[in-house]
Amino acid sequence: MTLHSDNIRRAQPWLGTVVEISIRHEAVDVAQQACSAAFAAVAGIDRLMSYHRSDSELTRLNTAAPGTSVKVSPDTWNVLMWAQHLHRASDGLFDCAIARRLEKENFLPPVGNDTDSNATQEDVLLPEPGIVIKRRRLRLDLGGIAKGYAVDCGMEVLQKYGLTSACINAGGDISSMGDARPVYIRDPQRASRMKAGLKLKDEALATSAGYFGARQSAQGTITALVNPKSDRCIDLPHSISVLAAKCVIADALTKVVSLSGDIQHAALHSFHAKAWIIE
Amino acid sequence: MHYRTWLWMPLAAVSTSVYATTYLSVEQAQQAIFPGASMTAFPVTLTDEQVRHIEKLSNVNVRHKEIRAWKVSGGGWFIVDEVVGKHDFVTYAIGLAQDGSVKQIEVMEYRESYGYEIRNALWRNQFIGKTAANPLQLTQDIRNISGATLSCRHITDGVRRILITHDTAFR
Repeated sequence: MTLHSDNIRRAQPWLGTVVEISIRHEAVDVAQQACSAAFAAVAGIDRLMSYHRSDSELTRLNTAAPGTSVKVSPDTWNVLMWAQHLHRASDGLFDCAIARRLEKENFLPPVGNDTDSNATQEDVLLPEPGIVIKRRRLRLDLGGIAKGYAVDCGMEVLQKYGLTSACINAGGDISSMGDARPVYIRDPQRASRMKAGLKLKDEALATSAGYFGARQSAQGTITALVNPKSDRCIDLPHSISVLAAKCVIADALTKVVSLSGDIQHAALHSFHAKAWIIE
Repeated sequence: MHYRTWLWMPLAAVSTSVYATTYLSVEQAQQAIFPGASMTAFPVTLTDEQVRHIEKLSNVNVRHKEIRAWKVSGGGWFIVDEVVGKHDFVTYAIGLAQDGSVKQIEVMEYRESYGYEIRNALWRNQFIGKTAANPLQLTQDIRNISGATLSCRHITDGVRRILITHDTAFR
């Protein structure tokens, strides 16, 4: 097995989790600068897309009235474009317009203005780059896609600095460049135990599971994963991992596989991704 | 499409493992947040009244009265703090700008905790007597885990407590 030997390893809290960057690069000064720049890029995504920040672009979009042309940054627009592609490729299973259900189940703080219960991702129009128009009253939560996107952004920054071997891990969404790095998956029955491993090289892996986020409700055990078809938070007894070329894809598709239970889902084929269910 | 197999961990090889990582020493964290700056240790011990005030304003418990702080040449503060979450312990460094706002945060040490599993000494024994050929070698270097999100809410709470501590005891 190739043992990776990253000589720089740092972690900062962003995106509601701890984001870790590992780098193997001889010129330590350059590597440290690149690392700081990559964290700054991740921080930028956090500031744009945090549901909790009152001054984030997402909050501005969420509080805008339907029909209003809302100007957004390139990153926010990119994420919404990805969300639209994934929504259509998954036949609506991937849907960011689920904030309402998360608020009702206390996974998100309540915002206040009413939303249309029938609103979906399709009601988020992207008429031209940088412009978003909501067709109905709705609120988006980008928690199912923003981490993966942030990881990809961070990796692009590292590449701009000339780095060829690095790994970024945002709360379990991992992208590895250059070396083949061993990545471990937790046993969904016992999170302290590693059940399986995989070597990750020039690709991304994301995992969805319920061991940290599950809670009890009147309906039983639920997680912050919403089935947009039934408008319910669901339980996640198994662990789902998705391997894809980009972390934004891997991140989003874990939701599609988790909800469908289908590791051969058409969306996986559309994005050349592979999925596993670990019990 | 890639053909890929998982390397499954034999249950006998990995029963419990406590994932822990040290990212930065105090000196390294100081350099990461305030590159090139020199620092003077400025430890502060909070009075009971200050503790009460901080707890009231931050809505978080103050676990230690001793604050590990350094004054930064050129302005600002470097503080090392630790927080206990539901599943982990985190030691982190926070750099404050001259005006008391957050400049940068770096995680120094991260250790997961699983209650009864830490106190179980059996987990250590699994590493004794294993050869290089044994697949257990892989698990001795667990550096990357893909496994859902551990919230950093406790770090956010800690930062809020530190900011109020700065306003209370450092001005």
